[in-house]
Amino acid sequence: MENDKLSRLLPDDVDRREAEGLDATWRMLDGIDAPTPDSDRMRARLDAVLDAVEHAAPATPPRWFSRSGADGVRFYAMQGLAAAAVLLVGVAIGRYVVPDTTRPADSSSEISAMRSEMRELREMVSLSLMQQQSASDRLKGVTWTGQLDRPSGEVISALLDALMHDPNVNVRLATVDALERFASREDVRRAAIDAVDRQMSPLVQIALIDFLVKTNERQSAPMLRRLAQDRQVNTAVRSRAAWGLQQLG
Amino acid sequence: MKEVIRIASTALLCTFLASAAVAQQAAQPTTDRITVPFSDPERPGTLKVNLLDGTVTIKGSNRRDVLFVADSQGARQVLRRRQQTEPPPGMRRLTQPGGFGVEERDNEMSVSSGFNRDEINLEIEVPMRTKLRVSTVDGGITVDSVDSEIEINTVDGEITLTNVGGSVVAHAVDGNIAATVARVASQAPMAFTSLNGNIDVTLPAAVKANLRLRSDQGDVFTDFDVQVTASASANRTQQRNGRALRIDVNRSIYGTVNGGGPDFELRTFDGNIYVRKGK
Repeated sequence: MENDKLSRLLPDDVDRREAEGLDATWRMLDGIDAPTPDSDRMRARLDAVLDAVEHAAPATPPRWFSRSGADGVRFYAMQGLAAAAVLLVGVAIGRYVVPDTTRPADSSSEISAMRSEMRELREMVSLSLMQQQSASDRLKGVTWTGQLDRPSGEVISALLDALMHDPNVNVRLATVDALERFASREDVRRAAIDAVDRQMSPLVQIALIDFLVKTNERQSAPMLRRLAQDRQVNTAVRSRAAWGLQQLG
Repeated sequence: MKEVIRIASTALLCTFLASAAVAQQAAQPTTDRITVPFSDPERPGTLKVNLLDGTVTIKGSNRRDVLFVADSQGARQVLRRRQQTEPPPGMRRLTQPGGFGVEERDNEMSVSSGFNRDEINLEIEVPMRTKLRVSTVDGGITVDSVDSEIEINTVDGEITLTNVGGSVVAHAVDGNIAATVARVASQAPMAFTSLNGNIDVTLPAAVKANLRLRSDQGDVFTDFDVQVTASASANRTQQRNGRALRIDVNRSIYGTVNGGGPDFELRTFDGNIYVRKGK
């Protein structure tokens, strides 16, 4: 049945065996499992963002952030909201940087409340940028995390998620840089070791090896040894892995 | 489902081209042209191109729909060389379509080379503000005069961007990247990275940016007045388990141009980096 369909589509002068071979390859490609996003973690992050939104702007209708709703309205609503959040951050910065001299001196609690609100907003903007369709927006979200002074676990798990699943090489590469400041965390280093194996991009693999060497992560040695000996791996990556072993040894 | 669409679109295209061929037998049979409209031409659409083997040339113009010209001439020559079958007496060989599918949904147009035997060279004309997401495995990508978000990926091909604006995120594993960015979207970060290729980027002379430049085995050249700032991570010595972190690996140059702005990352492992001052 499948073959009949195939042969109907094929002009006569085509080598049938080659065509069937190609067709089989296509079918095999279809069979490859796409990496499924960690929906629990995404859900947790979504809930955290929703919480932040409810605190910052109660008037916002719920479910605006649903990722499945890639339809235009929601997308634009999200963009608008991100813009509004940026504006709020700007206002907050302005008020923070130029303190109101007429205000009584006992407003320090107010200031600290505002500061934490500002931090939440900045974090929310970074997180929502990292979910955008445009790679440039996601890059922006990743680099913005560098300006958060005490990022929450949500930010770190969003970065780790991007490192594993972002479709764009440059976003993943920027994520490695952004994760550097969290290198003291055990889970970040472990994720970096895992990511080297799962990376398709040699450039990101090299960046991750550098990251592990920089943080002196000795637990990466078995992985580096395996990588250095694997003939299927890109030669630049293999020699970097060998160099990394030497540095750690 | 995907497969059904793929087969359907190929079949549709076959039918379309076959009828076109019958209708104008004397016409040049080497190029196949189709135009596809966006569902909402008032707002910028997105064009996604995914090719295995073949070049993609995209040009921005004042049109509202998208024109595809599939030139599979090279492919046919290869085919002819391989198949020496002489046409039976009184018959002639019909040209076969290159075989690609176009799908439009919610202002997003997807092009893919489905079940085709040879490389296909696509020339595409788009409205200037069309967002691009183009990837090939084995073929160069050229973009001219497009002003939007441009995202390009290739494994073995070269990337050439001329007179583009907006923001660019480009990656070529083995090929060179040459880009002339004429207009820069404010606050939009950009990235140009490669494993084995050179990266040659021309930016507007007045561009405000934070540059992150790095070539592991090559050199970095620029005629911009780059104010080198201290490398962000090189100055940090964190303690972990009583040991200092190693800091000697990072070779990145961090610098600002015209006072600084969004991050532009230019990174290659085995090539050179050129950052040129444009007009």
